[in-house]
Amino acid sequence: MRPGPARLTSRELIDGLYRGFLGRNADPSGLAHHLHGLDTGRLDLPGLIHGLRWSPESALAWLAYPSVARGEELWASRAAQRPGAAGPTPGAEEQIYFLHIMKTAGTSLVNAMAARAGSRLCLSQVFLDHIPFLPEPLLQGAALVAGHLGAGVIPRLAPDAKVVTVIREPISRVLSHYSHLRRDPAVVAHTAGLTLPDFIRLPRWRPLVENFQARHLVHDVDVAGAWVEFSPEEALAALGPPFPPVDALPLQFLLDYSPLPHSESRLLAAASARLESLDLVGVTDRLDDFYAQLLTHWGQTAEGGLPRDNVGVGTVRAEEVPEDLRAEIVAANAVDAALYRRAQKLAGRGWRA
Amino acid sequence: MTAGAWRRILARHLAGDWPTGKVIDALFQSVLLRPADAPSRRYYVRALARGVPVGEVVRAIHTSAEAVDNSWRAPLAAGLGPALWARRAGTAGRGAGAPPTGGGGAQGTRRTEDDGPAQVYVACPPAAAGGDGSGVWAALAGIPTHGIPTRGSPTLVGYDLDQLVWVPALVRRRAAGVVGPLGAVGRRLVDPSAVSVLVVAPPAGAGASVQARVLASPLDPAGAWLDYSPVTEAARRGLEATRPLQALLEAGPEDAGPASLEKKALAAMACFDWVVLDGPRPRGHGEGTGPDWALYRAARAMAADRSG
Repeated sequence: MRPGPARLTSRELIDGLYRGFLGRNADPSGLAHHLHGLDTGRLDLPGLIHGLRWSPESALAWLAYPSVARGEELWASRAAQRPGAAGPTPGAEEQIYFLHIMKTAGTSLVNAMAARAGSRLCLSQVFLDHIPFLPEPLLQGAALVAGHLGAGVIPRLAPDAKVVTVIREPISRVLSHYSHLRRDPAVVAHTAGLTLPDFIRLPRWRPLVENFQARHLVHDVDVAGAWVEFSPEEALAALGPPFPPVDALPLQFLLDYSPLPHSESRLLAAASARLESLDLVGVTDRLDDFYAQLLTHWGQTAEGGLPRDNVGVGTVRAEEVPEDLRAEIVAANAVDAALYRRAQKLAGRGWRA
Repeated sequence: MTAGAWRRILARHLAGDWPTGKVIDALFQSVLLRPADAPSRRYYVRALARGVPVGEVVRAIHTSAEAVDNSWRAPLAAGLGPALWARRAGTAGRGAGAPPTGGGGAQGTRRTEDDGPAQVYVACPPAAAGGDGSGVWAALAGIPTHGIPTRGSPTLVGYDLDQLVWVPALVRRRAAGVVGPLGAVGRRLVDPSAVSVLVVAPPAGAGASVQARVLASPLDPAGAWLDYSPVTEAARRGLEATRPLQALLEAGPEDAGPASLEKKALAAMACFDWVVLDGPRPRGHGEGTGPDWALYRAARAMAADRSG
């Protein structure tokens, strides 16, 4: 029986995906492989589509699509970075890299900057796993790069990029991270029943609790060597089962979870040195000031305060936390606390000369 | 197979396995990383019902402006990362198994560079030279490339310069082969230690110069879209802008007369590791003049030297 117009046979579906993604008919062995997968239930519809779209062959075909429009968008962005000039010239406005540490209220900042960017190209919601596969013109030419990418990505950006970050008082950051995990659709299946004591004490979550801001300032998981000198998937698997439940972004998880090779004193020294070297430092409790200073780089002034996004609803407040747990969070964040104190001073400095 | 599994398969085949609405939903989620909005879903479901081929619908979503806009968030690592890693694994004796380095936090097997070439770069004649490229692989057959092009995927075949500048450096420099009408300047985008091969086609006619222009081009592909706009530059030179970088490459250097062009092209040719001839040798001894003929004669002499 022929399928009705509202349904496709497995063969029609597989053939269509091959034609659409790969520009060719399914070869007999590929067709048989996928038909068998669907018939036995080993393969579902999303798995079939995702597997064919992101096969090496399809990924290469994707890279070959004409990109003149993308180039013109980038060129328009470059021109916007030098108002009045026909294109970028020496001395043009430098790229901003927002080293966005999770739960420091940076999402509000990125969204507000994107809204004020005009034709400037903003790369946001980028994860570390995307970085090796981003074309250099985009990575080096974007006006703003923002993400939970840590400091190891800096050599991949424009050589004169201005690196900025926001530091948060560590107890409130840890509590916000805990609340976020319990809401995040990507991990909620693993975290819906997660208690605060478990979050603070279990090895599985401990890297997110312990000096997480210092980690993002100094930890380098060798993005340049990924897929060439080491396999991020193998490296993540080597961390063992106590680590994260999601492994679709292995490099990102390595940054967030892999052990730090520093003692606490060395971590403090390295993170403090990094903080001092940044071009602009803010603190979450004075985000409006940071936003206003950031906008001056684009020759703009802030009109009113920073619009807030991704503000946690139902976030546990510090005063609601039992004293013993508070003490454990404090003990786990001695470096982050020192960084926060220093960031408060640096926040008043404005752009580094 | 169980009776239940047979029943499920039979039911699928009788009814048609996949409701088109579900297919569109899954396509949107995979390609655009979001659920299908109602108007788009309706539009594509109706298109399929009208008989538009599934492949066309897939392609329309896959190449939509939104998909291109989102392209930097595309999970290319999922497809290409393991392929590149497997290719490294396949390059036997290349330092595999070296212990992890300290301090990086990345544990597991760590590999290091060795001294052997891992890529072949093949500069083909441009389409304007008149060839269809069919002779390129035959021409390459005699080149000892250590089996690299066949050693494993990925291989970038047929990319022009407008495409290659958008290929991530990791892929450009780690692909087994890069093959295209990319002249000498394309080498700046690939593995610096790649075995380089120049394919020279019989000249398209008397006074032909397109192969020489491509070879002699001083274009800076790495600066495209960052330091200059290829569209603006192509327009300034009166060239078509659909493929502006490739058009600039094929236009060659500005203000170069035939003698200067010939000299520059021959100098560029000398920088390739191998030069091979594509296509049949022109009949008779009547040969033309001009830069492409000079290139062809030089390439033929090199081929004769090698066979001798």
